[in-house]
Order: sequence, then structure tokens, then C-alpha cells
Amino acid sequence: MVFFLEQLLNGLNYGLLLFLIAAGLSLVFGVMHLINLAHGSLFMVGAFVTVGVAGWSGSFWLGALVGVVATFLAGLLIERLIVRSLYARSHLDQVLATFGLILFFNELLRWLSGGTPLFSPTPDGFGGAIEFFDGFFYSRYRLAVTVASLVVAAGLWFVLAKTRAGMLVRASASDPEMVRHIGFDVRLVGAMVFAAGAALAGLAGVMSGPLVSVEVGMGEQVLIIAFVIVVVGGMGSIQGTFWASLAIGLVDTLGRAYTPVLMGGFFEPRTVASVAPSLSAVLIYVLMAAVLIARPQGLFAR
Amino acid sequence: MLLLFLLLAVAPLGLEAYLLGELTRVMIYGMAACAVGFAIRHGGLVSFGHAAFFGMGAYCVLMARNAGYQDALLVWPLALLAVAVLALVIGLLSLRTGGVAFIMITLGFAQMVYFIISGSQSLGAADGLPLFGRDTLAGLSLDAIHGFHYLVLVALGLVLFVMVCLSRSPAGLALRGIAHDERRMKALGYAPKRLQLAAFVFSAVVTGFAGVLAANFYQFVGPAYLHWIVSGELLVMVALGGIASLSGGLFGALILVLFEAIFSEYTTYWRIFLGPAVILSVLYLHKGVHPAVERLLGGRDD
Amino acid sequence: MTEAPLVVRDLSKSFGGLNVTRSVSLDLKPGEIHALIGPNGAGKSTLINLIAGELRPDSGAIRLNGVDVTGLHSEQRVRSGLARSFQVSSVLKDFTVLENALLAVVGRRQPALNWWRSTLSDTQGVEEAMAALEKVGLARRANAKVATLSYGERRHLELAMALALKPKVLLLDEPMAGVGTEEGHELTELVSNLRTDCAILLVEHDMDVVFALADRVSVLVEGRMIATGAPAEVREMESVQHAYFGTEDVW
Repeated sequence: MVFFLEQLLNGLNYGLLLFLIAAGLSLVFGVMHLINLAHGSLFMVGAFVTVGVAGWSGSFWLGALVGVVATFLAGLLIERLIVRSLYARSHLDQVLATFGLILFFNELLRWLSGGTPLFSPTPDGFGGAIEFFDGFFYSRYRLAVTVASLVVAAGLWFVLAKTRAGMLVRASASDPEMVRHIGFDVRLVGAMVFAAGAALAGLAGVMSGPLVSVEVGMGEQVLIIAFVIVVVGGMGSIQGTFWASLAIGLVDTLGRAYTPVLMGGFFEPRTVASVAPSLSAVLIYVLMAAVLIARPQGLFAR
Repeated sequence: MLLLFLLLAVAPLGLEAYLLGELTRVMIYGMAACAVGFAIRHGGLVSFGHAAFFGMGAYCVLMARNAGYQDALLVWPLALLAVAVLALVIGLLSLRTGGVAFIMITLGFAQMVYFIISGSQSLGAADGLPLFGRDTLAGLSLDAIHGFHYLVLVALGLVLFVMVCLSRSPAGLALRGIAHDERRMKALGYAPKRLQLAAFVFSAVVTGFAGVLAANFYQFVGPAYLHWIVSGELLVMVALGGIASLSGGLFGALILVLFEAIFSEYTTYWRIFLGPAVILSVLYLHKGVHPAVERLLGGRDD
Repeated sequence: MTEAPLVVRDLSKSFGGLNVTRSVSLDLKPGEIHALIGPNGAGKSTLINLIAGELRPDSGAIRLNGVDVTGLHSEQRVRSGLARSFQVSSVLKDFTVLENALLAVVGRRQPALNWWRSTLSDTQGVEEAMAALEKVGLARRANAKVATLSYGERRHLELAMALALKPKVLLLDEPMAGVGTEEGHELTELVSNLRTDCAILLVEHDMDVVFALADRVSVLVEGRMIATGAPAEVREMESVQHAYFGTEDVW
């Protein structure tokens, strides 16, 4: 029971982090019809900058701040220099150019970091575990990340649903002509959405730092999972992205925790040890296949 | 085009083994890139999952070797059959939605194949396994690079010949139409999905063939064949070589290998230059490098 | 007597609460040109897309030559004898004129699609394609790339492709849109001659064209069919004048 609760919270934590990444991807696609492979690179940059600055200054918080700001600025810069020319291009061109960005960022960080994985310290005051009830301990940092992600997700919902800026974003997605007619610059909306998406991915990277090893290639791992989320949730539906993120986070985490246990009832331990890891790694893709068979347009598409 | 083939045919007479090997490598990757380009030109299918087929072909050689079979006449057709089955399943699922989701879904399924195979102990898991010598062709040894070079050259010529025939056939013409305007083709009585599936499987089988050849060339099989970055590099070759011609991928492979040869002289992090080069060529060299070169040479190409 | 080539019964379609097509019924008699007119936003394009099979109706039925095709995909309807042209000329620009026409010929012959033999070596197919081009006067441009054609020529090609499908029912969505007066006359005569080959449902804004061509006219206003009849009759109907033209007399 305690094990299950812990895994459940871990899955929730993972799903919410994934949402921060997938949300930007989904919004950028919804508003600008752009497929951005370099989105995962921004996640990676956020994690690396935080580790770097925290190591240099001794303060995780300074690192986190610089990490988020840096990814926001990187987003603005990338949008201005490269992505803006891609909106009117084919998806193939978009894929190629943003793949070029991945190559660049990966190699740059491999060069700067020397290619070895880095480890980010847990920020002061968030180490250790807290005791929920008798015998159930949970990592204080993971809990803080879960709460922070929830707050950010709620904030994103509020901005999109309740504010003028959010209305503008939604209108740009469904009817860019109209937005132009009422006197707004659709390109500016696009740039802000792109940079905000970059900052969200960067924030996810910042918060993931202490949970995983910070290394080159971490961006594409989450990018591919974010794509699975967008397909499962339905293209361009932010609500679908949210629920699909939670579903994928839970399926992956619980799958990894319970596949060996479940298999243990049927197979020898040696078989379990060799098959279970790759079996649980493919669970989310099986989920994607199931969704494609049952509802090809995604679970939450209108 | 003919000029290039002539060069490849006389190359073994004058080149030392290492350089000849580089040319063989160009032909192998070029074959895979031509296949990726075929699916884009004929059917409008931008696949970011062809690494799965390339790797599947390579791993089939390893699996046959594990089972004690080493002759190309038996092993290679079986390998292509296995790739075709895999492509049929992935294609059926990925074609259930259209457009940009296709890119994400093919990438997702390729990652799934990566996890399954790289998790298998008998296939060398994360490290891969050496092959100790190439397959034989009806009992003849292919271990000398000269013989293997000519075999690959003949195979490449055959593949390109088949592609030319297909592209001129009614089905090929229809597929080109589908790549341009799917709705229009439906109004002319075509069922796009069926034709696209056939084109996708064909493209995958050719890529798998290149994977079979690559396994024999390196005499080593490992997860690197299946890595998503292979899919990206194949697309880069297509773009550099030019999407408009069937053999563009071959030129793209040549350009990429030359690029690596030149820049890896200066730094092991040569991809730091490749990324921006890809971006620049997408933004400014619309149709790839190959058409520009062809124009200079005054040649024509199908 | 056999049923009319195209029968539409009580067709309805709404998009998110907006009723774009409201219980529309329509018959297309053999050999007639039936014009569909109506103000902008009346739902003409939606109706064409419903008949062509690109949209699914919420309710109602569509029959082609007595066969219910309501549940069929657009490509299946083509094989049941339906062809359409597009409002925005959408012939495939990188192809030659002949290749475009051949695509239509081959499309009709589906599903026996050849994967191997060169398309251009199919002499019977080429002949049929050339015949269709001949009919619209484009035969001499057969080997030109479509990108080099004038706008009017592309509209001709659009017609040739529809004809190459040998349809029983032809949907023409503003075939004269954007062409000059002279080419317009030419196209009008061309369409008029097609009457003998198939029944035509014509969407057209230009009233001169409608009166030159149509045997009958139907008026669509806000998704509802408010009148059908001979052109002269329809013109006189008060309801039509009121709904379609307001108080202005534009005839």
C-alpha cells in the first residue's frame, strides 16, 4: 500500500513535469502549426544552465532563476532567427531545421560539459523526506516539484481561459485573420507563445535536474514522450495534453514498478529481470497504438 | 547521375581500402536516404522512424548469425520480409491520422523498437555484438572490400532502377499526386491511404536492405543503428541532396560524409557545424545542393 | 422510368450548432444543367462538399443512379459516376497537362492499378486522356507543365479532368471564377455542350452565365432551398427577389 502510494505520487510528479514540456509543444503547434523538434533541447538547456550556475554560485535558486530566464531568451532568439521563417514552410522543412538545432545544442553541451553526466544538488531545505502518516515517507523535493507544477499548470489554464492575452492566443489558433483585423500582430503572439513554451520546458528542466542525471540526450527522451502525449491527447488541445500527460506519467511509472511484480507470478526471476525493463519501457507506445486504433484523432480532440 | 555511377565503378581500381570503404558507406546510406525521399516524393510521407527499419535489417543479419545462417541468398530475403511486416504494422497505425501526427507517431514507434531490441540480452543489449566476417553470397566470400563494394554498387543500381519504374507507373504518378494534394486525388477516385501504405512499406524495405548491407559493412550490429538520430540524418541527406530527384539521397549522403571528413579534422565535435549548416540549407537552399550542382554540370536527372 | 442520376433528400448538416444545410432536397434530371445560386454564405459549397462526399451529412440521403451513396467516401462516389471540379483551380502544378488528364483516366479505372509499366506506355489510357483534352481544346498543350498555363487554360484542364472520369453526374463549382470575358464565353459554350454527356449541377455567381446555361435553377438561402424552377420563373418569384436581392433590383 505504501509502495503503491509512493509510485502513484511519483507518476503524478512525472506526468506534471511532462505536461510542462508537452504544453509548449502543443500550443506552438496549435497557434503556429509548427512542429518543433528542438523543444526538448530547451528542457536540456534549462537543466544544464541550472547545474552550471548553481555549481558556480553555490545557490540552486539563482541557478533556477537563470535557467528559466535563459530558456525564455533562447526561445525568443530562436523564434526570431530561425523559427519565424518556418511558419509558412512545409512540415519537412520545420523538422529539418529544428533537427539542426538539436544537433547544435547537443554538441555544444557535450563540448562544454565534457560529455559526462552531471548531478544537480537538491536545493537547501528540500532534502530528505517528510512523513505523511505512520510509516509513509515521501521525498520533500518531489512533493515540492509536484505542487509547483500544479501551480504552474493552473496558472497556464487561468491565463489561457480568463485573460485577454489568453483569448488572443486562442483566437490566433482558430482564426488568425480575425486577430489581424482587430489590430493585433499575430507574429508577436506567435513569438510570445514560442518563448513562453520554451520557458515552460526550461522550467521542467530546472526542476528535473535534481531528480535525474543531467546529460546530453535527455531532451530527446522527453521530446519523444511529449510527442506521444500530443498524439494521445489530440493535436492542439491543451486540455487533452494535460490529461494525456498524467495518463502517460502514471502508466510509465506504475508500469515500471509493477511489471516485474506481475511477471514474477508467471515467469522465472531470470526471465523477469531480462524482459521486464524493456517491456515496461514500451508500455506508453502500446498505449499510443491503442489510442490510434480506437480514436485516431486523439482522446480529447474536438 | 551516370557520372557518379561511373566514378563508383572505377573507384576500386585506384583507391586504398579505407577511402573505398568510405565510398561504400556513402552508397549504403545513400540507398536508405533515397528510400526515405521516395516516401516523401511519392505519398507525401515524412517518416521520422526509418531508423527502425534500418536497424531491423541489421539486427536480422545478427539474428540469422546467432541461429547459424550466413548466406545472403537465404538471410537477406528473410530480413527484408521481416522489415516489410514491421513496416506494415507501423504504417497501418501511423496512417490512421494524417499530416504532422505521422512524423510524431513514426518517431514514437521507432523508439519502441529501439527499446525492445536494445533490451534483449541475446542481441547484445546496449553494447551490440560483432559479426566476425560478412555474409557469403552463394558460398562466395564478401570479406574483401573490393568485392563488397561492387555488390553494393549493383544493389544500389537495382534499387534505383526499381524506383524509376515505380515512379513512372500509374501508381507512382498517383502517389506523386497524393503528395501534392490528397483531397484532389480523392476527387479523382483514388484511395490515398492504401497507396501510401504500399509506398511506405516499399520505402521501409529498401531502408532495411541498406541496414542489412550496413551490418555487413561494419561487421558489427548495435543499438546505434536504431537510434532516432539515424532517422534524422537520413532526412538531412534527403534535404541536402534535394527532394525533387530520386537519387537526391545519394548525393546527400556524399555531401554529409564529405562534411564529416572535412570538419572532423578540426574537432571531434564536428556536429556543432552540421546543425547550423542544415538550418542554413533549409532556410536558403530551398531545393538542396544537388540540383545546384546538376545545373552547374549541365546534366539532367530524373 | 429509372430514377434521376442524382437525388438528394432532406440533407442536413450543422457545424457546432450552426445549421449550414437545412433539409435540402434536389433532383438532377438526365442531360440537364441545374444551376445552384444563392448569396454568399448560403451554404452552396457545403452542399457541394456533402454531395461529393467530403463532408458527412447529419441526416438525409444521397442517391446516384438509384444507388444510395450516403455512406460512401468521396473516392468511392467517383467510381459510382460522380465527378467534381474545384472552386480554386487545384490541378497539380508540377505535372504536365497530359499527366493530369492521365491521373483522372487511371483514377476511374481503379483499383486495378499498375505499379510497374510506365504510365505513358499505356496507349489506351493516353488516348482517352487526349480525347478529354481535345474536348476542351487543350490537346496541343498536352506536354506543357501546368505551371506554365494561363489561368483560363487551367480551368479548361479542370474540366478535362472531370470529363476523363466519364461521370454521369458532374458538379461544377464556379467553373468561370476569375477568367476574362472572352474565356468566359468559351467556357460557357464548352459547358453547354457537355449536357449530352452528363447531368450537371452548376454553382455560379454570374447571372448571365446562369441564364445562358441553366435548364433549371435552385435558390439556396441560409441553408434552405427556397425555390426551384425554370430560370424565368424563378426570377419572377417574390420570395427569391426578397431573400436573395433584398429590395434592390439587380436583374
